Amino acid sequence: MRIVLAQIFSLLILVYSVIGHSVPVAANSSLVETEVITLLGSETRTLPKFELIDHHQKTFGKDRLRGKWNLMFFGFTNCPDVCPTTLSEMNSIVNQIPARVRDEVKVYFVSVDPERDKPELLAAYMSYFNPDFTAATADLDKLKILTSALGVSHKTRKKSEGDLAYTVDHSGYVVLIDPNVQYAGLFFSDRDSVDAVARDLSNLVTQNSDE
Amino acid sequence: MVTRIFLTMMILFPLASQADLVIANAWIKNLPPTVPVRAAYMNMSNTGQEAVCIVSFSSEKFSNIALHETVMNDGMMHMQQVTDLTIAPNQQIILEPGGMHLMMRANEPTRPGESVQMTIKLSDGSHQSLMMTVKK
Repeated sequence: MRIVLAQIFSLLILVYSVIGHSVPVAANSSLVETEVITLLGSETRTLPKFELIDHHQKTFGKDRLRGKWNLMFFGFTNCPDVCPTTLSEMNSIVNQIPARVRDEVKVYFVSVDPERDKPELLAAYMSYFNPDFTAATADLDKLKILTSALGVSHKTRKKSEGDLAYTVDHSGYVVLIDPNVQYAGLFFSDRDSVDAVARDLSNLVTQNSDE
Repeated sequence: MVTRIFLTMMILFPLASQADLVIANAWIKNLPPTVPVRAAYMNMSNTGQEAVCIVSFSSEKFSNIALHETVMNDGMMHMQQVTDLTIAPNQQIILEPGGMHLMMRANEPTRPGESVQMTIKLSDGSHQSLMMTVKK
């Protein structure tokens, strides 16, 4: 894929920026070797409190993530390429995880387009990809608390004030949040890496539950 | 009789531009009816000796069809329109998820398994028709 090198470069910059601004916290994922997921190791950091609204119109905050391995991707439903492709790959990943650890992994899609992505649209979107996935969003100020903590960027590209067919630039990586609600790792999803991500997640869940 | 000869000639010796552009694996990623956009992907090969230039794509089922490329811009995924689609002799251009794709606005909902006709207009004025399969 033509953007792989750019993705790797961005990943290195992102990891560097995370390391440069974080307070190290002991990570329970640091002893696991991964193939695709870049673990932040000793630079794993606790997420701040945040408050979004999920696709069931219920409050969605840190507590929802506790006790599970969470994959979180940021995008928007009017995205024709990257977002649906990534969600399809997330679906393939969770379907490849052994059933005994699947319950320990949750997938979240956070819309950075709250103007158009109302909860009912997010509900239809999640229902299409996987009813077990959760979508959430919030106004931009509330979103910023979470996106800033995860190094996620997004920018609305309106051609005019009334433009409703606008697109949104956004970070393309998937964030891994561990059971202690810590930002533990990240990866760029790719159809060729689905198997390896599933193996990484299985190892993370299994080895941490064995401790 | 003349018509039959003409049709036979067309089958045996089609217009060079139409014969040179070979489309394979053309498909559309399905999305729920609440989403108005779709992306289409395909492999486009120029098997001829001269460059083939695609001017536009059209379909009754979609409007505002444009070739886009997903590129990394300031650490973000950005969709950039590609305005010149010229395929050199023996060159293959691949439209695939996460890379180049046709960005399309759906005039009506799509469903997996459906076949959608699309017309490609070339710079010499000729047209080429292809069928695309909608996939989940």
